[in-house]
Amino acid sequence: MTNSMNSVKARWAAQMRGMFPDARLKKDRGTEMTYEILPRDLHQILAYLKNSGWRQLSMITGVDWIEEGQFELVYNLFDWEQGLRVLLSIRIGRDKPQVLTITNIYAGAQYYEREIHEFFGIEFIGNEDALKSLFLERWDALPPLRKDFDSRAYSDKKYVKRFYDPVYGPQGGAPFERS
Amino acid sequence: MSEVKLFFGPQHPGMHGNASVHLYVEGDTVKKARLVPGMLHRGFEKSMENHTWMGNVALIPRVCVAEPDINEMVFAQGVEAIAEIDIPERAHYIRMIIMEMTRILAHMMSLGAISSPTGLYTVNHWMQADRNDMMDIFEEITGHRVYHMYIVPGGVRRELPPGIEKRILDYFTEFERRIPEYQALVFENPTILARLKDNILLPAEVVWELGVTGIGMRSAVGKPYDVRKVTPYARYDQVEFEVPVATYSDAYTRSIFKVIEIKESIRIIRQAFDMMPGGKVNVKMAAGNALKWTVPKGQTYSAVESARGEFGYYIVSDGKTQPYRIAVRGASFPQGFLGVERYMPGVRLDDAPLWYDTMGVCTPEIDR
Amino acid sequence: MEIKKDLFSPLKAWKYAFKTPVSFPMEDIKDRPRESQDNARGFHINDLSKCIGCGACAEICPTEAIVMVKRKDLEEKEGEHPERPTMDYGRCCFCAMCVDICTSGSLKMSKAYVLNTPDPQKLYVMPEESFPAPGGDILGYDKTPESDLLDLKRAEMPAVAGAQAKKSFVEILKGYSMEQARAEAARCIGCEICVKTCPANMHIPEYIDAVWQGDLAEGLAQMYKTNPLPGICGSICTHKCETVCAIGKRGEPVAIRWLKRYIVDNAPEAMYEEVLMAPVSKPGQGRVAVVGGGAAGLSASYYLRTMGYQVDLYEAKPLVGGVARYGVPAYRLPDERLNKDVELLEKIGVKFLVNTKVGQDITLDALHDQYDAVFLASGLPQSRALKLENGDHPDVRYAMPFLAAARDYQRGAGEMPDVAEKAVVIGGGNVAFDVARTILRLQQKKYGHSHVSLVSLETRDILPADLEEIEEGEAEGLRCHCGFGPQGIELFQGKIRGLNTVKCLSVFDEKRNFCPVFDPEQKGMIEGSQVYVAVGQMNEHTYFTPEHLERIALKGGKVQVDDWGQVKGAPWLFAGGDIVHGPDMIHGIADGHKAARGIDVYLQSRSETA
Repeated sequence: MTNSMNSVKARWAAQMRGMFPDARLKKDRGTEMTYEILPRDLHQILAYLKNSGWRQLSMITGVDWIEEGQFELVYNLFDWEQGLRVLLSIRIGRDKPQVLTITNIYAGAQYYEREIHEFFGIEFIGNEDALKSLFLERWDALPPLRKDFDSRAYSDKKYVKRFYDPVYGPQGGAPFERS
Repeated sequence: MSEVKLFFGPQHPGMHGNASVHLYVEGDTVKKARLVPGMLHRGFEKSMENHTWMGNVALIPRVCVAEPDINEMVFAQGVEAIAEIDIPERAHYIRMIIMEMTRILAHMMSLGAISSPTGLYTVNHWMQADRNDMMDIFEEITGHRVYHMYIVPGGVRRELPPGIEKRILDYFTEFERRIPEYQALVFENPTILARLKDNILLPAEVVWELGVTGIGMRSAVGKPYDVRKVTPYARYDQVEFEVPVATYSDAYTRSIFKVIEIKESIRIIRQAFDMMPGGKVNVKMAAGNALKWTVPKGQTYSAVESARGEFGYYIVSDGKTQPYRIAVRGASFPQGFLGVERYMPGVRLDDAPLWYDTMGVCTPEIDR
Repeated sequence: MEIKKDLFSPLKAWKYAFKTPVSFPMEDIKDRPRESQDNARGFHINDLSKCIGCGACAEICPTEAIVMVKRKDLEEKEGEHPERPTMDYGRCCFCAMCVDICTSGSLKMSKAYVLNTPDPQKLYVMPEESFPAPGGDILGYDKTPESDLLDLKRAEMPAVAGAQAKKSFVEILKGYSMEQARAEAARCIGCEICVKTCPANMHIPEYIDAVWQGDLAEGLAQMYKTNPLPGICGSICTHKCETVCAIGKRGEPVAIRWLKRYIVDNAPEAMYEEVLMAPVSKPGQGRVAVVGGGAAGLSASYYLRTMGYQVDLYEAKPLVGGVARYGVPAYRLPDERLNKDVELLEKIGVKFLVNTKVGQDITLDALHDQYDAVFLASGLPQSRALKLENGDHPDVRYAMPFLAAARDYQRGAGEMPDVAEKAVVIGGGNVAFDVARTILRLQQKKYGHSHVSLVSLETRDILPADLEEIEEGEAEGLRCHCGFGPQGIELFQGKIRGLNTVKCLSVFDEKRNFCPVFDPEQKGMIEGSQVYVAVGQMNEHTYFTPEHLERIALKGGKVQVDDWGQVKGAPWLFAGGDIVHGPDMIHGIADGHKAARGIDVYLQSRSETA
């Protein structure tokens, strides 16, 4: 990152502070800045960023912080001109998680929201499509990326286990004992 | 005329990976299209949470079959960013060589894949034969042909075998001799040109609307929006290479860009061998043995330029021996889902596989 | 780019129709497949005689394809498990992490890659030296130093440098910091091979894991399950565990002893009370006398007391601790750490009756009358004599009395032993080094310089002493004369001038029996005006009356007992420690634990019949 870019970044960061005092800069990794913001500020900030160069939504992803009873949603924006990435993180409660869709700002969010709905059970108000299943047809358990979904227990319950004994041993015999 | 529903995939020569595009067709025009994934879903993101940091190295290359090393690279880079590890200089150059070799492999695969929608299978046979030799080189370096598991957090897994430089450079000398033949076969071929030229357009607005990256983006917006240039990783800021750009993105431009990128990749590999310093190839990512390696608390998004665009992992660590969460950004996710839904309608039925191929959709990285 | 449209350009491909195909004939693929490249990760090969069954491969396997399976043809022996890995090739992903982490280096991969069968059973295989498929006898992938997934180097232990160390009796090893301890603990793979070898079968992987997790309380609890003297052991245990440690196959073994010491040094008083005091009940029925306050006696006392018995411990010296108190110098084991172990015993209610020598101040029969059972662990307090010419000269000293006097001096309980300016020590064990290095320090204090020569039969590479003892001793300026036999003491005007030696050619015969062979031609003399003998210790069974000896069996001076320490011929009497198994701290602790359980069973059965 060059000096001029650094000053551009600093100017932008100052502007961001002025406009959104509740947004907390959590981590600055040079070309990647992570902000913790309030869910109510999300659309304001996204709209502002989209008009300031962050034309690309790289992805949206969820993290289940089960011990804190929260879901984190991370909106990942990239400005190709400046080479600067902004990660916006919001936290919402784990029961009946709901958040407004951002498809009105970034159309590309549609399928990310649908994927998150499927894997975390987070509802995106305003994105009806997101309620439909995408990857998991006829899924019959908790949304699988939640931390309380135990994939091994699920597969043990769902599928029959097969056991084999080792065949190729010394002299073709099999002096083994399964421990 | 009545509407007919057709399944393009999961078993279809033009389909990459086991996904299905449900096509609603009137006459021979696609009226509605939906990508239906799930046939290839392996639960990678959940599985990654259940593997150790090192164990994940064995798992993640499988996210994308044609270009597995991008997964290793983003994973390693992300872990190094969180743990604040500086890796040896030599490892950066080896990584670049590996990354560019895989890019060539992936481009060869997708150029070969033009064969099935256009009916010219010779391309695929040639490409597969040439890929085979390169995969042998990979086998000598890493131990495996397809899933290399070579780029690990802290550097690369082992030193390059002696004499590999000559083998790689000889291979590319021969390969460069072959490129004009490929060009003659594909890009000077009137039947293929008729299918590619001015067909399946990707306007710049659509790029921004969907979030398309990679060749699709660069051929439409006319800017070198390549992660290697915009936020250089490894030592891409030390080598010279050009990124092809255009402002008119049809199937032809997007395909010929792959050939240009292959040539540039060879250029990068030659420079990397020249500039590569000696020394160690890795540092241990944490104290103790691999079973007990931990990564400090933190999160980051790590991205590389794959053959299809920006490929990234969002990695969260809670300080334990296993990742807390890894989310995969498949490079072709935007065009694969929303692109198919919004912009495949309108193409002719026989162009649907060509649309899928030249838009660079790779099912395994979407349906992971 | 210029686009040329040439109707004939695709036809250029036709020229390849007349070339040799690059593809492979189908019929060759199964039986004569093309050879893989070097480094290919094919099917596994495993040198079963080198493999130690540690299970690290199964532990790291990301696909759980590796299962350790017990082999009936292998015996249970020290340093390995009778298990070998089996691979389920229906699961294996050929990542070779098993190869990279293999502790013994036995597991590798061949170049074989074709295994064609409709029967999934046939894919479950125990690899051997070669794999039954084409290319199965050619080595493919093997680890390189940079791909190793083990950490072969120990976390460095801060220590006082040799020149500085010999100026005082301050402990040399400073102990691990938290970061160092966690880094060291992270090297353990948890294979439990050490547990089998440790005489006390300590829960080693568990407490190492506790250190790694930063859970000292758990570590303390795990240690006390099998060893109530972790402080002593953390400093001076003979660490057989480290000798067999799987990591030690290719690298430096995990510093198990130092990790134990780390827990003791860093666990606060309150944690001891919370973790260890709480479960101890008040004394109930049953009184047990323990004879000897060394490791075995203390260990038995702890476990008997936690079982609810009243325990009285008889000790001839003014302080309990045995060799740890009166033998090992303070630079190896300071009193503070020893006291930490001993104080816990006092706190849980073990009664120490010091300055009471059984057989002299109280008879064994009196103990028999007063108590329900007696545990005998009087140890080996005497030095073994060495027959030498002029060996009865007053300046010939013996290790045990000297070390006891020196130790008393170190704690301010006695005069400084009179050391000469030049001294010679005979012996090659840890005791000999203790003597020599103690003399070094005393000389340094008295004369400001030091001159100690150590003479041993064994050459340096087979010295019985621990390597760190030898290295530290040499760093402190100890002159080692290894591979020489003492012949006699040379006198001049009634004073010792030195020790006459001959070259020792070999110490053991083919059957590993002690049978030194000398070369009488190669003579020499090592200067010194005092000679210290440290060639072994002896017991002192003064408490056995002739009546006892009629019933009790002694073999080579060792008391004969059953598996639970019960003395044959005297059911009320249990014995353990050095008088049963010869000198070894951790063995004594294990004996104490066993005898405690034996006494418990004995007393329970007695009360049932009564």
